[in-house]
Order: sequence, then structure tokens, then C-alpha cells
Amino acid sequence: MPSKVSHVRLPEAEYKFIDEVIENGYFTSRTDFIKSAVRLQIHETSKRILADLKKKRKKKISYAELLKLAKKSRKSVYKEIWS
Amino acid sequence: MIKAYLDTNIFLIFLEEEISNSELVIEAVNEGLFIPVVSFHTFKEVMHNLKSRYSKDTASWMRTLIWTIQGLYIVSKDEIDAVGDTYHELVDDEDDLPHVNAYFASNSNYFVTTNRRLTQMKIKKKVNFMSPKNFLTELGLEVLDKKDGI
Repeated sequence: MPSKVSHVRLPEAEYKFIDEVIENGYFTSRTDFIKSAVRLQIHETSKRILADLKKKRKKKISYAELLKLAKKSRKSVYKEIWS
Repeated sequence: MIKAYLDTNIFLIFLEEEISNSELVIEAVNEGLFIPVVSFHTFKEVMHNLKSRYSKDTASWMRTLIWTIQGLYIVSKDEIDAVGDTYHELVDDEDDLPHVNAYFASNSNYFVTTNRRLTQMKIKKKVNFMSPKNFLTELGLEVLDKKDGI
């Protein structure tokens, strides 16, 4: 996957914390820490967006209906890839 | 550390139910209790399902949520292909086979699913199927009392 470089200014205390956890073996480098933090933030934000959607939606389908639709998707994807 | 293959229905139930054991399984990943495994099929099925019922954006947010799960291992098509037809005879629905093969290809310890039909097939003797509720119990976590352990 192509990547881009970003320069981020952080308070010294945060850098100190990052260096300490690297020293203690939780992360291999500052890059490793920051990449992991960004990924976690993307994950949590996606979760919040989906949670908002859950609250706003008007129509909810039953569990039985969901299983039927899940099976339909499974059949369709299988056909597309393996047939 | 144990590996758990998470079936597509875990993510669909997460979105459909206000709160579910499936959601707690996804949360449990952050506690570092197991290595989560999905396959390229999982992404395709989630996208297919959610695009047809919600919007392209919703499907994309779910894909992003899955893709950014900490420590996620994604089984590729090549890995599934490598398993071949070994388990074909034991799986009644051929469309379930790629997931069973992904479980074996990734050497997973558990196959977490709410697909009761799959868990009753002959393959049950070789695959350690668990409902989300039973899997959480196995991890020593609290569970919700929901029908079929979803």
C-alpha cells in the first residue's frame, strides 16, 4: 500500500512517554507507536460512526431475517469468486 | 496465543443488534486475549450484505472497522486455495467451505459463528465451533444472555 510522510509536533512529555514504552518493549520504535495509535483511532472512530447509525436507523430486521440475508451474500460472493 | 476465526455473521450482528455477544467478542480483541482471524471472503460478504441493506458508506465504515482490528490476521485466497478439497465432503453448503478452509489455513483454535446449520455439519468433528457467548465464556469474560448466544 502506498504511504505518505507526515510531520507531527507533539509535547515533550508525550515523546518521553513514547520513548519509555519503547524501552520497555511495548513498541519497537516511535513510528511503530504512532502507526498503532492512528490505526486504533481509525478503529474507534469507525465504531462510533456505526454506533450513531444504530441509534438513528428506523427499521430493524429480525435475527432470522439477518441470517437469511447473510446466507444470500455468502452464496453470491462464493459464486462470484469460485464459480 | 489462541487464534479465533470470526465468521461474517459476527460483524453483521454487531451492526444489527443494540448490544450483543458478537460486539463483546470484537471488544475483547483490544484486551489482547486472542488473535482475531478473518478471510478476504469476510470483507466481500460484509460489503455485499451491507451495500444491499444500508449504503456504500456504511459498508465502508464496517470494512474500516474490521481492517483496523488490532492484530488482525487476514487469510488470503492463495492460502484458502492451498487447503484444496480436503474438507469438501464434510461441508454440505459449498459456500461455507472457503471459511472452513480459512480456519484450517490459519491454524485457528476456534471458529466463532452463529451459523447453526454449519455447526451441525460433519465438519463439526474437526472444527472447534463456538457461539460468541461460549467463546467469551472460554476467555473468562462476562456474557449477555441472548438467544443462540449471539
